[in-house]
Amino acid sequence: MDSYKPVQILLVDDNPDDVLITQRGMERSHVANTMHVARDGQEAIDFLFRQGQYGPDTPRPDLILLDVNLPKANGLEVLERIRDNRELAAIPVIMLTASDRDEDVLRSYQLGSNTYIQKPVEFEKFLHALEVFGQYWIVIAKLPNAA
Amino acid sequence: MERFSAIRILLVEDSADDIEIMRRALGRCNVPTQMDVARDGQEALDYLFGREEYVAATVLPPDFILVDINLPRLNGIETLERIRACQDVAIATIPVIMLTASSRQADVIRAYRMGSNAYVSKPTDYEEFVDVISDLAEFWLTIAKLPRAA
Repeated sequence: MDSYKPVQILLVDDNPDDVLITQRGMERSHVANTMHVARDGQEAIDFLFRQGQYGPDTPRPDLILLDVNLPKANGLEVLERIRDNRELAAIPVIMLTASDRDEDVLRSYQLGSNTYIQKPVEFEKFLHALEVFGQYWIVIAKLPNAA
Repeated sequence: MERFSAIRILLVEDSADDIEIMRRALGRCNVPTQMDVARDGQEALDYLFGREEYVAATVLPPDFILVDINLPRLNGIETLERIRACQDVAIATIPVIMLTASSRQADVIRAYRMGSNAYVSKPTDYEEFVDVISDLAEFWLTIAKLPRAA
């Protein structure tokens, strides 16, 4: 990143344990980030489209971490909404999910997810995956800065 | 990864120096990789679609593709467009990572909009370049799940 502004991450996950682990993993990756959490697909859509409880000043995320199995609207539906919207279309979306079904993996890539991470069951492995993710996606990759 | 065969990578790059750096950096990874090189976008498409010099070759689709933006004949963005427009899901869904000297935001946004999976600027310093490739490879080879068309 060229700037020192913290990276804004939207995490969409309904499992409170996984939310905690993800937050902890991102702290460990030593990259300045602000994490916003949406607990289901509809809340994610509200956050992204600045509707419902989210006002016009809601930040645009630089990266989205998206679970597949979510209440109200699932991750693939959220992904479709993002890719269909011109302002949101370029935001990298990383599927971070317990599902390892080949159909979910392929469908995610087909709908335009940038990558797919299967959540490791083991705590330490999960943290390690997040550390590698942070190093690569936040330190190495250049993110679109539509502003 | 659950598989035992080498990860196949297609590098689309016209700079001989950069190709050499990539080979070295990938050689440092713990995961076995097999890298093929196309020197421009047109050759990359010929490789993927089994045309021209690749007509008789039985090349399996690569697991992921690294593409430079500035290339002779067909540039990286155009190449990406053709890959994403392909009717064959096994080709259309291959992760494509732009690896390029350009860090212009316009190129970055365009690449993501066109469906590139990630965008990485090539550092000019050799050691940094090798580190970047190692981190990139660690993420894509050990953490990410790659698409497998049925």
